[in-house]
Formats: sequence, structure tokens, C-alpha cells
Amino acid sequence: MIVCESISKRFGDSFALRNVSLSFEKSIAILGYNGAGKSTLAKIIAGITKPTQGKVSVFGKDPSKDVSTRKKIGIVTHNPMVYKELSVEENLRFFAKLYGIKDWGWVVEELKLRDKLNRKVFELSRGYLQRVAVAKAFMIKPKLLVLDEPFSALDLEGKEILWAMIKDYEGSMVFSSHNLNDVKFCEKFGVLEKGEIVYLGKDYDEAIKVLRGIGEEGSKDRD
Amino acid sequence: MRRSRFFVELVKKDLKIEIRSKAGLNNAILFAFATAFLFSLSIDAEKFFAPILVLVTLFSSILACSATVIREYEFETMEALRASLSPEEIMISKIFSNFLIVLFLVFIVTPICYALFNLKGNFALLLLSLSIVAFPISSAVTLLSPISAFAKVKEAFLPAMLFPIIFPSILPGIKLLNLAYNNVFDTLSAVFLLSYTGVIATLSLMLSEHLL
Repeated sequence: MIVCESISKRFGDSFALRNVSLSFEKSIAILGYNGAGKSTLAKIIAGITKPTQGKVSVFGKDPSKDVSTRKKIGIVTHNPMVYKELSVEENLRFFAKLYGIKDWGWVVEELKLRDKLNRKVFELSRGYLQRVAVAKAFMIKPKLLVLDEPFSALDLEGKEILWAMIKDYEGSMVFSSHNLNDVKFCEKFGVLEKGEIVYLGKDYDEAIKVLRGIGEEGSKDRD
Repeated sequence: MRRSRFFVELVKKDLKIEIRSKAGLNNAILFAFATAFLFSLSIDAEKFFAPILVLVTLFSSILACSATVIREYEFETMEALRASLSPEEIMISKIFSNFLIVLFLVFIVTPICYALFNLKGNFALLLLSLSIVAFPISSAVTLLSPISAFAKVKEAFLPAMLFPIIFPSILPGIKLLNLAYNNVFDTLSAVFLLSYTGVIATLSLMLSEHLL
């Protein structure tokens, strides 16, 4: 069970998240426009960013305080979070050692990274860089997978591979994406607007309706 | 045992990146050489070699060491580290990586200064003494680097903040070098510098949760 209680996150004077509460068992889709706070919420749930206020509980523990809980969470964001001076293999080997994993060759095969193992990360295309980030998240066999715009930069083949991996994945999942069709399979939907939850429920159509409503309001404001 | 394995992996990774990118080291070596060269021309360097050597090491270390921490924030890899390690583990490995980088600089700076300043004292003891001065420098730079990563003017912030923190170790460092040049190992200054390193390192570990 993953629970967020009254989470707020402030950067300087502005709030990225304000009083966000949610809970889910299997999967939740976080929807929202740019700057709504999706990435911040994803990082807070993963325990790598601390909330200014509120509590997060992942499998009964606060991930920001408990390393063993953080080690059960795989995260993919639009930033691959890898070392550009190291090769793909060196990056994967390094993170595998930090997580105490010996068997990580399967992610290389699954993501078709074998040919790129000796290439420095800065030589890779954006798509392959994202595959390395996906490999890094899946190789730990996470109990909770946090996917923040995971398909960004992936080509068709990369998207198909990631979809297959997501379908085979059996743990809990936080999924944020701009493509609304991607998140249809989630059991719960949360819509964020300017850092606040404006919809939380299991009805996909209702979540989309709320999201489109925000978009129209935004357009009117801009006009 | 497990902790030591993480520690070794992190230090290995930091050194590998530093050697490959050369971003910090090149600047530091260039700075050290230029400064030593200018001082060798303008003052009686043999008389003032000890403070010059300490200051050259200090400022070139700032250039070389801050990069190992700041880079982690620039590429968001600090978040990847935080995902699998405690802040204390990250901090202690950064202190050690930075110590090895400063030690490398010491091994470059000392012969350069020795040659340019036309020194004739005990080279080996001088090298050992400057290596001891490297301890407080590396730990203090590591302590402040995470804060400077968020500063608007990173280059100015670190030296300005570092100086008051490192100041208590500068005079014993100079004394250690002066005596080493005359073939005397100043145990008291060495113990002070190592103890001061312990204080800074402990402070870094205590604050790591908030700093990283």
C-alpha cells in the first residue's frame, strides 16, 4: 500500500505541491499539464525528494528516511540520471553494485542494449539514453515502479519493449504520461492542477473530463 | 562489509569520471602552475614557500573537488545515488574521493613549487606534510560543495564560505611545512590537522541528511 498524506512541496516561494493526499494498492496514473507537479510527486513517492510537509508511506515505511525501502523502488524520469562520462555497461554495473544485484544481463537483452554496452553515455541518442534509464529501473526488480513520462524520447521499438516490460511487471506502479491512452490500464487516476489534486478516483473518463476542463480553463486564461 | 563495498564503488566511479572529464583537474593544475610561476618571479619564494604552497593547494583543490559534488546535482545523478544509498554513505565517499583528488594535486603541486621556488629542503617530508594538509582541505570542500551547488555564483561562494572554516588549519599547515623543510616533523600540527579533519568530517556526516 502506498499512501501520501497532505504532501506539500515548496521551492522558494512557490508551491510545487499543495496538500496532496492519495493512496493506492496496485497502480495510479498521475495526470496533469506541464508544471502541475507530477514529477515532484513522483520523486517524493520514490523517496528521492523530501516533502516540505506531509507524510509518505511506501509498504509501511517512509522512503525518504529508509534506504531499504528506496532500494525497492525503480524510477524512470525524463532525465535518465546516469553518468555521461561512463559507458552503458559501467553505468549499469555501478548501479547494480549499489543495489547488490548480480544478475542484470537480462535487462540488456530485453532492451536490446548489447551493441551499446561499450558506448559512452554521451555518445548515445536520446532514445537509447532512455532505454538505459529503463534498464536501471527494471534491473532491481522493483516492488514499486515510478514512471514519469517513461516514453519520452523512445522510438517505436523502445516503446513496444517498455510496454511489454510494463505488462509483465507485477508490482505497484505510479505512472505519469502526457499520452492519456498510456495510462488507461491503471486502477486509480489522480489529476493535478497547479500542485493540487483536483480529481482522485477510479473513473478514467471522469479523470479525462476533469483534465480537459483544466486545459480549457487554461486556454481561456491565456486568451 | 556491504558498506565498504558501496564506498569503494562510489570512490572508483568518482575518480574514473574525474580522470575522463578532466574538467576540474585541468583547471586546478593550470591554476597551481600559473600561481607558483608568478610568485617565483615576484617574491622571495624560498622565504614564503609554505603559505604559498598551502594557498595554492587550497584554491586548486576548490577547483578540482567541488566538481565531484556539483556535477552530481547538474546531471541529477545525486537523486540516483540517494535512491540506493544513505546521505552518510554518499558524504563519506565524497570526502574520500576528494581527498584522493587533493592528494593527486599535492603530488603535482609540490614538485612544481619545489623546482620553481628553487627549494633545497627535505622534499619527501614536505610532500608528506602537504599530504596531511590535504585532509582538512578535502573534507571542508566536500562539506560546502552541496550548498554551493545551489548558489547563484558557485565560483565565488565556495572560496568565500570555505575560508573561515578552513582558517584554523591554515596556520598549523604552514608551520608543518616550514618545519618539514628544515627536516623536522611537527607532530603537534599534524595531530591538530587530522583532528580538525575529524571534526569537519563528523559535522559533514551529521549534516549530510540536510546537505545532500
